[in-house]
Amino acid sequence: MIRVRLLDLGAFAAYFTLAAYLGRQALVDGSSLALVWPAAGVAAAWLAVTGWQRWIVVDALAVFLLTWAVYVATGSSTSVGLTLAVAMVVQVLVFGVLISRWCPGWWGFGAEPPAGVQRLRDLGLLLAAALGSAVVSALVGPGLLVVAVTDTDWSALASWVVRNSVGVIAIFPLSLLARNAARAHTPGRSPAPFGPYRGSTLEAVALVVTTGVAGWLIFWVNDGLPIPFLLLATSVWAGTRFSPWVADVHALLLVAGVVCCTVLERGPFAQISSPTSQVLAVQAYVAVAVVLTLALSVGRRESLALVQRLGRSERAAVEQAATMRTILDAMADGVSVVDAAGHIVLRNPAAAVLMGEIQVDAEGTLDVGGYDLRYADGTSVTAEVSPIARAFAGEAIEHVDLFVRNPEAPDGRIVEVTARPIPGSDPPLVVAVFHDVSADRRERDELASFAGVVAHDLLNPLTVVEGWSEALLESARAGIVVPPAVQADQLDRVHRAAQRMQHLISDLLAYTTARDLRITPVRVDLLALARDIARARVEAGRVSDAPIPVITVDPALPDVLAEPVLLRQVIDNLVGNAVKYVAPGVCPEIAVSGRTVAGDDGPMVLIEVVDNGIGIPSGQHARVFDTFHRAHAEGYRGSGLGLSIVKRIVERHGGTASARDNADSHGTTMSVSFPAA
Amino acid sequence: MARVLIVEDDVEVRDWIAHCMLHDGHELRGVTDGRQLRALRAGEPDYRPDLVLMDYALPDTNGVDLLAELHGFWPDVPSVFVTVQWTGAIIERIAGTGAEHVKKPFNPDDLRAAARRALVGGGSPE
Repeated sequence: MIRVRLLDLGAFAAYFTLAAYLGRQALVDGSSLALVWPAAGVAAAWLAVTGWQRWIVVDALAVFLLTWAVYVATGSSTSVGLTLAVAMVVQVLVFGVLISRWCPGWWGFGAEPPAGVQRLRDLGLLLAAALGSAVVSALVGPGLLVVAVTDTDWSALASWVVRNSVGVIAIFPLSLLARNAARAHTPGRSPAPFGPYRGSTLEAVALVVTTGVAGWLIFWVNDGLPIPFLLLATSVWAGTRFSPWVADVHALLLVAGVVCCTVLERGPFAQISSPTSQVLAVQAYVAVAVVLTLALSVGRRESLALVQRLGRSERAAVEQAATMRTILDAMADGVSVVDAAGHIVLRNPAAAVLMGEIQVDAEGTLDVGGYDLRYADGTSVTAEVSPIARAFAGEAIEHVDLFVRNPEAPDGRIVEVTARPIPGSDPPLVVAVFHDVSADRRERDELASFAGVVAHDLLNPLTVVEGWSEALLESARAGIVVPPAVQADQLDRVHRAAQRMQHLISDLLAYTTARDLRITPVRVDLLALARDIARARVEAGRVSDAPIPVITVDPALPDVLAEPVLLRQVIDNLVGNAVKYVAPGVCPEIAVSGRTVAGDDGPMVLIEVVDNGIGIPSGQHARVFDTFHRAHAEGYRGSGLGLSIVKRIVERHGGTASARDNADSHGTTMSVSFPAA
Repeated sequence: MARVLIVEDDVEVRDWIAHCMLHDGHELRGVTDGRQLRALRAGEPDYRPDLVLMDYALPDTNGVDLLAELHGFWPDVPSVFVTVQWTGAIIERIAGTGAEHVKKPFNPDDLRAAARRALVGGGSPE
């Protein structure tokens, strides 16, 4: 740390001494003050590196001693040198106070240099700090001299303020650059205080050559004409085409040339007879050149940064828009943005599918394109009461159901819409989100219906069980002797009702299994399976009072690919129905056959169960597969689930189920298909 | 004694309702659905029940619609709905008829009391 401090101290001391010495050489005859004072900027940079640490005492003392020494060495008296050295230290410390308050990063940054003058605001603050500190130091230095020394006039104060503040503005940033470049161990570690170089090398050479030639012509060859302002054109060039630090270097070189020419009594300023006016004129020119150059280059840099930022923002916005568009297009939900006139500003493909070409026409009427569009209560959706219009009116449209029928959904679908105004949109816009809830609503309705039917079919036998059992119980308690035959009849009713409940529960479990059991199709010997079922049914018939069924199984039944448990359920349900639904006293005659047919996704085995039963009432051949539908509720017990179980299992295997009357109008043929093995 | 018509598709339940109503010595008839009711009306034009005990879920219609149809040819016949515990719109429909409502499984005394009130009332508010 101390090594670094000593290196800084040595380097800055040498740099400061050189700058002070050169400044002292810029004296014009008849004036005690130098035309320029770059040492002010060097001192400011020197103490800025240290900041408010104890080392600043050493640095300030060094500034004081070196200033005094240079003044004395260049012909000033000891007292004048001491006064101006104190003023030098005062300027730097006041500058430190101001700049550390306004731009804290520029004071005491150590090894991490500040970004430098990035904006016009930075330049303004630097200018204000430089000017303020120069004014205070002018009161301390030249001010005391004016009071104490009779041959010094008050114009010296103005001259001091201008040259010392310009010295800070021009030198301070470049001094930091030089110091940090010297300290940088790796390329690029130290950022340029004014940002990157912009113009081309060729243009820089052209700028230098043009400035040199113009300066030579104005200040040397043709020094009689008062046209030094023409040289400022090169400052404009440097400021508008190059980065601030290049422009600053250009300004310093220009200032150095002008000062040299004036000191050597060449150029327009040398023609001014009054030394005081000459000094002020040169310093005003120098100040204008430096500030103009820096203001132009910093302003340009700020504009470029703004343009770059806008460009990045635009690219980001375009990319974000593309991302959003991709997301919108991929969404299953529809999204539309609509203006107050009902015109669609934006929508995704899902919205087009769900809602079709529905929009408000030129007359303000909702054109539903011939579609059916209603609310859940059946009222038609018009332009005045559409969810969009209601959202524009301030109504909260949250999860409102619409019924939509269009060519995409000829049976209609239920679309849940949520519509909200887009905050801050100008003109006002509303975003609407459409979600197809047809399946959800259907499932909900089916579940409610299912629960209702289950409750109904369980409560009916429960009524019978409870009623007859209570009747028997009351008789027993009352000591009433019930004839055995009556008693047996009542108990038989209880027993049958309990059996009904058991069958319903079994069928419900089978129904759930048919829906949820994971299907792992394997090759099934359909012939063996059908024969097994037929044998069981015949055996059951033997022990009942009903006629024993006659079941024939086609020996040519092909093998199928199916889940064996579910396939057995299908064949057993079909054969069981064929046994059950026969006229009283009729012997069931059933034939199970099958053949391979072409299917959409490969060969299928069409299995047919033909019976001689009571048949299916006209118009109910499709409905018999509906859940809980019973074609013969009277006289035949059943849950109404058997054929819906069949259909569900078959469809889960990719097949179909149907029923038709036999050709002779006696009995029914039930057909199901499974993938062929 | 009154003529009571039981409209119930579940034969076992219908028998149990009949058993309960026999306790009061009523004359009982039973049908399972709308088709049988219309057949009864067509086959016996002179028959007119004093009370109808009506189920809701019937194979070819529902109890509320059938009651409205029944009142077309037997005006002001009082009725009692004997149904399971339905919910939602069905409950509202049944309540809308103004008829008594006995829910299965029921206590026989409750059923008979509801029937007596309906008979005394003499007719449906419809």
